[in-house]
Amino acid sequence: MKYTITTLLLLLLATSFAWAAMPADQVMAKVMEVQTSDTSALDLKLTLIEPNGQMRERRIQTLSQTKGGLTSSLTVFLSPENVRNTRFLSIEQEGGTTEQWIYLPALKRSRRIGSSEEGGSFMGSDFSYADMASTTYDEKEAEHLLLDEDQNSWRIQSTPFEQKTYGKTITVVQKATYLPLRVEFYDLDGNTLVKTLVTEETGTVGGKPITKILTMKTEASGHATRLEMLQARFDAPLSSGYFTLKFLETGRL
Amino acid sequence: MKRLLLVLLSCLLLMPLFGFDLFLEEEPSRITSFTAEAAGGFYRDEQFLTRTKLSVALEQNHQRYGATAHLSYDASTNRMEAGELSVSLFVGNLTFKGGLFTHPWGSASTSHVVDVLSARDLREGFVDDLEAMKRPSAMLLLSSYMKRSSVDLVFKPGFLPSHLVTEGRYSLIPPAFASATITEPDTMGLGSWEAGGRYRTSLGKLDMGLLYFNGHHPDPGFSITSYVPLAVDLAYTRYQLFGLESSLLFDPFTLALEGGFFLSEDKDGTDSSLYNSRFAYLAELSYTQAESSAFLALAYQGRYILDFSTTNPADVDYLASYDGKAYENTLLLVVEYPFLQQRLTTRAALTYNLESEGYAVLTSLSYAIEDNLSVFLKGTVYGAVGTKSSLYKSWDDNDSLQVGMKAWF
Repeated sequence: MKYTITTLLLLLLATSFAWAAMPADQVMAKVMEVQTSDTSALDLKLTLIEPNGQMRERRIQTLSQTKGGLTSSLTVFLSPENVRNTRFLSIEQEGGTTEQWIYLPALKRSRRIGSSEEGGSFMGSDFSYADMASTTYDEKEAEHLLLDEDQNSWRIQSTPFEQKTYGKTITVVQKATYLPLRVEFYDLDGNTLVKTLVTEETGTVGGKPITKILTMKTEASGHATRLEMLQARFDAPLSSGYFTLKFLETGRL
Repeated sequence: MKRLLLVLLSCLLLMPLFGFDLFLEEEPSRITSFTAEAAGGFYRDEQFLTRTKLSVALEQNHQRYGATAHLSYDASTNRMEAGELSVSLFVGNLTFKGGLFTHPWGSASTSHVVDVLSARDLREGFVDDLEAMKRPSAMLLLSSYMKRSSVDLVFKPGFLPSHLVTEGRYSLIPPAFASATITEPDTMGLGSWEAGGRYRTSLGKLDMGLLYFNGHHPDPGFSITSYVPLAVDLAYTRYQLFGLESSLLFDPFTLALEGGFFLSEDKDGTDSSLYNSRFAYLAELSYTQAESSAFLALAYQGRYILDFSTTNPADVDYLASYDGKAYENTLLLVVEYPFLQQRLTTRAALTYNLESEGYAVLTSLSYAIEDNLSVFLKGTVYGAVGTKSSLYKSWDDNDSLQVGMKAWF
């Protein structure tokens, strides 16, 4: 009888945990769904802000395409002049691996780069290459836990199954749009706050909610990077020729 | 000066400018950019060092064609040169490019043994930019891209050899030949044609390429036509290169291998004025640290000359050898470490030749005051551990320290 009661209690506890975990998974899945599109073309301005307020600007354009659940993306650097025409190509392969190349116009060569470099700084900004791809995890990538919620937002802790760059993130998700309003990135120890992402302005493009301006701040240095979306197109026809070594090396379709 | 004004005037007359823009992909874009660099410093022999250079890059881009002109004017030497004058046509998966330009072959980052389409330019010694140490060549290039492979076919109607620096700090001529009368052959005729091709493919994380090139050794051989006064006729050795390049990514390391057999027209190595057949090889292991974007590379480069003779001191292979040996082994170490969100970059490169015990150390520190303005401090040291003669030893007095700034606009 004792064993039966214990088993029932454990079952009840497990059920309640599963019920609690469900909304967080669903919310984060919806967050990813809102941010996902078959194709996208983004014109972005990166502003690097030093702790003393001094600023430097960079312009980039990013194209992405998702086919059969696999995403390819191409980033072209437009300014400053000394990095203009640097191109970065990322192609997701079957089995979860991603092949990445960078073309450096000064060297006139393309170079394959490893996924370990995903954690490296993107153009000297506070974003890593991985952050530029996505700042949130889907339900297959992390365990999500709803910490609390209010009338407007959920606060969700995500612990990635494969801890490459961060030990955990805490995301505040807007209920009305499923856009992340704030993301806190913690070190691999799970306790040290490394970076904070704050959404400053949201909007819509073709009825799709988007983040228009956001700022990533590195806590240790006080350095911050503002990312502003100047133009955006979603689900518009896009040539597959952009996501090839030919475009990477020649800049032509 | 007139030419410089002409270039500036033509830039001012250009239409309003656009940047290459994926959102305006149907429209042609015209881009003009300038780079100004000024530096001063000292050589070890207390001579003052100055460099003032203005470069202009003009580009006209369209989906189907592109035209590029890179010109630079060096005020210190009053020299104006074209780094690139080219026109490209894009048709399907084919790219045709013609003009004066450089096109890189080879898979390594720090040095190459199969990058043979352009000769060396050592008029300013060794610098920390491999492309800047190349002499652009007139060539026609056809490139074709498939899904995971590409082909280059190149034809050069004549060739430009390595800059033959005969005097000054970076002279490549042995002191015994300093007063010689040198007769150079015409290398820009069709009789001096060069041609070749490269096939590249990707197999998983391995990228590899096979190369063939029929061309000339960029450094001259020579024959003495008169001893008093000393007169020499230069001769360039035709060779065929059968080479390969590869790089294997095993994250976070990359192993690059390059190698080739240079089959000389002097097949049995009996003509002392021509270079013999040789093997050349390079292995490079590089590492990039993700968190800091720091780059570290260690490379080994070597060559082995066939039918090498030590009995004829006038043989060009013997004269060009290190310590009179048929083989040469060189180690390279390159480190780059960015700080302050990539605002401050430190670089160091060490080259050490085992046979001559000669070395070159290049160091630099650059700080971006703004995105389009940076200041730099560069130090260069040449020398040799022992007393053996070599290029490193003969450039011993060229150790220098310079400070300067560079602006893009």
